Amino acid sequence: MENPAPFDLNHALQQWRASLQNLGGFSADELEELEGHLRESISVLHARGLSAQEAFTIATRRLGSERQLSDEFAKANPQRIWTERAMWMVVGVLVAYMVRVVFAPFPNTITMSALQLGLNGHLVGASVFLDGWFLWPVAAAISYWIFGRHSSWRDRVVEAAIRSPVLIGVGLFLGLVYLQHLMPDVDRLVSQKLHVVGGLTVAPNPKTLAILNSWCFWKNFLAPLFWIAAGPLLAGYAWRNRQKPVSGSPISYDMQPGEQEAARVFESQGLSLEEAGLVLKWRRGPQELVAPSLGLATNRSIWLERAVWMVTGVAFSDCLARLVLEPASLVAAATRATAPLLQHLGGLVSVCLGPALAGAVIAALWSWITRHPRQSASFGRVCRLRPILAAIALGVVFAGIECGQYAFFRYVVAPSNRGFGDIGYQWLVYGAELTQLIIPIALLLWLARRWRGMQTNPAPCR
Amino acid sequence: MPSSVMYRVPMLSKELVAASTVPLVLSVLAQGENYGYALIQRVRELSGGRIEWTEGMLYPVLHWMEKEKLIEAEWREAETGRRRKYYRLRKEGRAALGTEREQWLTVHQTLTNLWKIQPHST
Repeated sequence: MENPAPFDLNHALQQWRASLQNLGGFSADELEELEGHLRESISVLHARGLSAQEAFTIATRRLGSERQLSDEFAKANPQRIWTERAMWMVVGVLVAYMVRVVFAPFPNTITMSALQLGLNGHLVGASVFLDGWFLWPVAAAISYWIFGRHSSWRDRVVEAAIRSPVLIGVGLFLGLVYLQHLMPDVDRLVSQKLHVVGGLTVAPNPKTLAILNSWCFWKNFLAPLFWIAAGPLLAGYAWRNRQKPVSGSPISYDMQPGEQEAARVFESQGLSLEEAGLVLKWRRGPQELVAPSLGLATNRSIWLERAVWMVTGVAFSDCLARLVLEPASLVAAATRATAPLLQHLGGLVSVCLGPALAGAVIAALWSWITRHPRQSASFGRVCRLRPILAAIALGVVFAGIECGQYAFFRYVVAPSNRGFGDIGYQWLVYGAELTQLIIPIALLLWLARRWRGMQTNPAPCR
Repeated sequence: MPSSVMYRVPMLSKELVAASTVPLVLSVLAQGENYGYALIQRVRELSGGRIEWTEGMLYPVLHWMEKEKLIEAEWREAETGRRRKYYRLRKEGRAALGTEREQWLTVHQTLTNLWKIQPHST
């Protein structure tokens, strides 16, 4: 040990391992195997005269960057990485649901205030159109702050969810249902206050109402489009935000006059010219060369990637609702003029049919993705490298679905079959509870358990 | 073997390295069981440093080969006191190695004929 620099090898290895674990895609056994490799590589380099820190730097360089390793291991075991991604997608769906519920009173209030101010119909419409958008960045910022900064909270929540899934599931369900029922009260309260301040609640005249309706139509059409486009755009941003992998990137090794001999000695000991150059450069000057290989995958970029999956989850669930859940409700609509027993039956069938079809779609997609990791990865690559193109392509596909659905309801379904009876409607309300709350919560807990099981107790490294 | 060359040794292209990984692993393991780090060192040594893997990338390949039942693995305690995962060739792996050998020799022979090189034995 010629170099007395205070470098703690065990600490560095621990940090390296934690960073890999954070990126995901590894089992405990695989991490142990990689760490064993790294330790062996370090001890050989150390024996050849490199300091512990130099040996660590060269050995991690040879092993590959954390990002590269994570990507490659994920490709070899797609089930593991996709379980994690599916988990974040479901989290996204639940968070979006919560945000929608919490923010529900605001659009109404804004519209009322705008009407009271006597604004032009289009201006009011624009406010309706926009209110759904500026609230999302607020929600995103808050959740990023809570979960990004306070990672111990996050870990505790995940831990608790895995330890007692039923308790957490019921708690989450009750909490969200309570929120759902609380918000109309808040809405009423706000309306009353407005009533006191501004006089009567304004009933818009028919012309304004028509304008508002068309703004609302476009809002409902474009909001899912926003989610769909946001996925690839965010993915592209996250990709650019990733730090460049250190390993493999050529570094300049401009030797200084006296160093040729030393480089030759290193080379004869099995270091490549590049590595020899790296060590010499580092011995020469400040230690800026060591930093990049540690903590490469920052917390921020990992959370950005999770956000990509959350957004994808919201977009995917929106598509699923249009493709499967809404058509399934036709059964309830078709039986609305029949005997009550038949109406109940129709309602039950449409409540069960939707989730069953959605489940089938998800299962088919899952088996395709995990069996053909290369194809799904190449789509991911398009999203990352050409985000705008991918966003437009997905948007066009979604618009196609939307137009198809519109045409289906407009021209195929007889007008007499639109709308529901009281019994059918009640069933659909239960169905909504099932698809928006119960199934996602159950799915989330199951995925979290499975995910943790795949990681198997992350043994602290020594 | 001190190398006095200060220019870069021509490395194998990325694609060729990727294509040759499985036959190389099979061939090294045909000489007896081994673990990841030693396996890489062996290939580096035999190729005179011209085949350079990004070392970590070998493990997904090994795990894939294990899943395909070409090789089998076992955790054992090493002399350092840490656990180490040893890989061993299976019967199926030996058969696969035979096929690989034939294919690579075919390519080698064809190129040799085309380039009219005197095949030298090493």
